[in-house]
Amino acid sequence: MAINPNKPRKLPGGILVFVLSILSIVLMTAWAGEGASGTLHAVRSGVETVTAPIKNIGAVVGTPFRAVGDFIAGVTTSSESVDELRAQNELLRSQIIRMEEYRQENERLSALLDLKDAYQLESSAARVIATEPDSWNRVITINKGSESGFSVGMPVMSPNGLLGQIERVSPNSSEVRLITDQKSGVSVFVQENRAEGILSGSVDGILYLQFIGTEIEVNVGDKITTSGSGGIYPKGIPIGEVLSVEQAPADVYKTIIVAPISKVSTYEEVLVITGSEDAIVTTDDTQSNQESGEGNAGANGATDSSDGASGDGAADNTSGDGTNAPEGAE
Amino acid sequence: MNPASQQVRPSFTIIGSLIAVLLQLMLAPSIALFEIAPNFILCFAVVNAMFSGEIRSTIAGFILGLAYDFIAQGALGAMTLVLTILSYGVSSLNKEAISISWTVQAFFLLISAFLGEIFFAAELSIIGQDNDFIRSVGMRVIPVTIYSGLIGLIVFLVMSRIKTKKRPELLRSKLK
Repeated sequence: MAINPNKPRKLPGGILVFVLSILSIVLMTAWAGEGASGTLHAVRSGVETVTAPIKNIGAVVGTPFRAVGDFIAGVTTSSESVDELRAQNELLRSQIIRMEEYRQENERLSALLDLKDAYQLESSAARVIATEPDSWNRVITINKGSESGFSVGMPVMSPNGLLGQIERVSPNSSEVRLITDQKSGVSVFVQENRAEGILSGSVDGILYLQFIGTEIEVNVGDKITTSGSGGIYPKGIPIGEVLSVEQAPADVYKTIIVAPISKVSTYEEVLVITGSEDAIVTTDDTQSNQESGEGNAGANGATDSSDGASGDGAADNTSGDGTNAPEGAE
Repeated sequence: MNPASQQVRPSFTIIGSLIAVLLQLMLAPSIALFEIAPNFILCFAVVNAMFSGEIRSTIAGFILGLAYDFIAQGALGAMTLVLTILSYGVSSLNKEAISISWTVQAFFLLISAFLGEIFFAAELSIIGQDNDFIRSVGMRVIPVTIYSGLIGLIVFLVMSRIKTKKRPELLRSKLK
């Protein structure tokens, strides 16, 4: 059979894989260099907007599969009793940490009469609709985004402690990178001695407390809370407690592992702290607003209980957590 | 019938790719065990490469890797590079040797999945998104390989029972 001279020559596979490999490297370089406001990031944000409903459907459809996984993980225990005890345990531990914070705060105020360390948090609840689709990142997706006033950098909490930080926002969903992710870092205190360090995640989800010098005494069971340094996470939010402390003779810092209070797999709703550092209200500000601003509460129009970005806080925030009702939650 | 001279239809590559992406989005998080989720996209890219030519395998690997990067949270382009090279490599192998038995094909699938994941971990270390490569190998690469390999076996068994398209030279040899 004669060879067809008009038949187009096929591109050799080697050249094709070379070209596509170069293109992949160019994409990686462009992604790393363009920043969060670049074109590629915008495209990914668009993809997340489109795939968020699919993830939501998958979370519903995958419920029986998740149940099988939970069964396998806890095959030797009664899952119902474990869940109940775990919830009680987490609540009690969180309360203990908060009370200890209040006690120590009271001691400082007694010694320094002009110190003011109380603030109120504005927050909005959201529902977890998806977890990470791969094994390398610890990210959850929640069902609210920019249309609900969320923005990149907002801290996210469970009812008992810190979970993570919003990393990416779409109009109706947000991606939250958990503190257990290897790319996360939180400035924290060891509650017992106020030693400050950085709590970092890892590829396997273990929390490491770094930069604690060998001369500082840290014991198993010590409580870890946010320090407020950097202005990202408010001060005093419970994170976990020390699980192990190791120190080799030549080490400069101790190797400390922390067990987190909040495990994302046990929660379906989370709280997003929507009040920025500028909007954090002190007790004095609250009192002055109450005295002079009652007549303006209606004019401000900030009475939507699910929108935490009003800033005045007097009429909407409760003391302590400032928790608002979840919008659209069932 | 010589399995090495047969390729799957292009429509199967397209439909299978879409299914793999949907499974990764919808099912992988739900069937994660101890936070280890299978990589449906990598599995399908490898299995497709076993039954396709170099050009189609390489392009499918590129597109599947891009899809993975867009739906996951890592650096864009990382898995794209992995699947492009891996798909080309698998499709370049002697398909007659691979097709001896399904156990040989399963072995190649497992090895390819391991190479893909470890290459990905190495990339993350190089670009600074992974702090501990050795821990990643032990806590992520190996578990994901095993889990993905099991999933890939199921995909392979399904694919091995789907009709394949004969190459033109086989038809010409029959017409002579």
